Amino acid sequence: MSADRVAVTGAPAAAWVEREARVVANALLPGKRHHYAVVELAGDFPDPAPGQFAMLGPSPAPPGLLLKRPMSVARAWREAGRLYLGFLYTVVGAGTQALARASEAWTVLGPLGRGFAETDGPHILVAGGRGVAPLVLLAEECARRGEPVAFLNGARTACELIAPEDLAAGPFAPGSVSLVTTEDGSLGRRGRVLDALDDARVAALLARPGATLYSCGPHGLLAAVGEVGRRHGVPSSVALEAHMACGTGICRSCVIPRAEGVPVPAAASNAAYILACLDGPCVGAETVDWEHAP
Amino acid sequence: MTPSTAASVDLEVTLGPLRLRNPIVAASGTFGYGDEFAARLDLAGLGGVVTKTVTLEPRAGNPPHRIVETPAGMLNSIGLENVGLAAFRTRKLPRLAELPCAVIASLGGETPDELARLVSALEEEEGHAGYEINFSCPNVKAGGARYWANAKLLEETCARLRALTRRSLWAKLSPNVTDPSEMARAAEAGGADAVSVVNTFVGTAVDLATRSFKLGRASGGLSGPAIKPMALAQVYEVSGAVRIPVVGMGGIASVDDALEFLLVGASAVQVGTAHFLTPVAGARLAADLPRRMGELGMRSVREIVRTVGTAPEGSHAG
Repeated sequence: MSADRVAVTGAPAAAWVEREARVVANALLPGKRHHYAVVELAGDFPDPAPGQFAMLGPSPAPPGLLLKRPMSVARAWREAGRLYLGFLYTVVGAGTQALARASEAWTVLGPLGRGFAETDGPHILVAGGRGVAPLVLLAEECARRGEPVAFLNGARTACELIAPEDLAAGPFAPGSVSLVTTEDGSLGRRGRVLDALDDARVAALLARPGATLYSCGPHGLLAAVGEVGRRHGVPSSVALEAHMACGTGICRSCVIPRAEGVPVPAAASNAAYILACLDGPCVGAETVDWEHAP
Repeated sequence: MTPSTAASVDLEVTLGPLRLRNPIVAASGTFGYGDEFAARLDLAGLGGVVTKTVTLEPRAGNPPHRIVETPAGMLNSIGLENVGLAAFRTRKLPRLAELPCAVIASLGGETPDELARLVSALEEEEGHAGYEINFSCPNVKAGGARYWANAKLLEETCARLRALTRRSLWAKLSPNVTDPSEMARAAEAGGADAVSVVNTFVGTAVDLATRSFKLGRASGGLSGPAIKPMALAQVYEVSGAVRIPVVGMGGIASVDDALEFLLVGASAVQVGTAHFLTPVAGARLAADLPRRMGELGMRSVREIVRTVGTAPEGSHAG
């Protein structure tokens, strides 16, 4: 394989819609620091691709709160003509606090953005903290297609480590490898998630033709995943996070600086910045200027 | 009072040579160039759309972070990111010509010359019904609100642009000045058809943990419901100082908000930040307007402008 192989960006959202959703579940995961919510939507809500996100707000909007919050879709399934979406989030401020309190209805605008690159080679998934969310959906998609994955899941502590089974996701395809790391050693192997790359089974998958790295988590992790990809000549498709007002390309808030010397895609609306909501959130790691990324 | 029926409510407003079917307009920077939502929403319910501000050359905008939410408001520091005049002409205007509502091109420049070049170029094009000159962006180094907060310069510039176009010409003014009426009178003297009041209020936010500004460029512009009382006061003041219509805005999120702006002197209103919460904010508000006016016994938008302080017809209240 060539060292300059790059991740093909996933297709953009064909169409978003804005719908009221019934909150089916919305609570702290037992023993964890993160919330998990499942919402029920009318059947006309489009299927999200792994890596796509939605803008979420309590319904009715509480006074004083203005903007919806962007969240990756962690799970998606259809049942009896309805679409169910799962979102993993942490209460960090007023917006997520309001979502945690809204136990009846949310407004959901989505699906938004470009999902992960679609490839048919081995998938090596690298999750940092609650960045596990879109990778759970990607792993489920791989399982449906019978493709084994390497699922490297890391967090600082056990209570910040969310496994796919915590979200009631189904099993990986046969032949998959699942590794857990925590920085304090309270769950799985002690260390950082990228330490798990030295596992022989993961290394073997990484060496196979068509292998692709997928990651979501802190931007420092995404940059490191991009560096691993570069060293191995493996493309990396990473999900960016950015402050965002609208999610639809209008407010121009969610900018991440582009790496110099990387061709700007024809569809891009800004030569200097990646717009996380339209050009991303999933992009090739080599397209980002990580040094100046927020 | 006799409630009027929604169907009989007269919504039409006139701003210089421009007639709008209703007074609800999407504000610049909150609705793209106007075409982005056209495939998803019916824009026929809106009176008009003001485009994202266009400058002579494309602009990449400011470094992140560009927004932060504050109580009932939002600070932005976008920095006039836009596609530039050439791309606006070739890629945007042909699509805007097909929109089922009036399109007002928002223009930004660092000098009167730049604005004159923009207007001259766009006078060769079809697809837009007027111009809103952005004399008030708080987020650019040059050509922003501070540069234009000079009544003489404002009047001369409006006069120069007036000579170039017969389309509706609006001056969007900054609230961050000592005397907003002076600026509005200058725009009027220069021949503007309307003044848009207000752009964002300068503000900032601080992150204690990192001892840094939350925005990449220290300060930004505050919008949203937080600024509504200040915007209402400025619209009232300015509409008492000029004869030309005032296009009012600042935190409008509901039909009642819009009506309050009309009562204090706005002839039309713009819905801005509310579009970030939901793209249908303006259209929903416009759809609600006749019913709500009917409930309140209001028969015509034009008749209620700057009627605050007068008792409703037939009411026994003082």
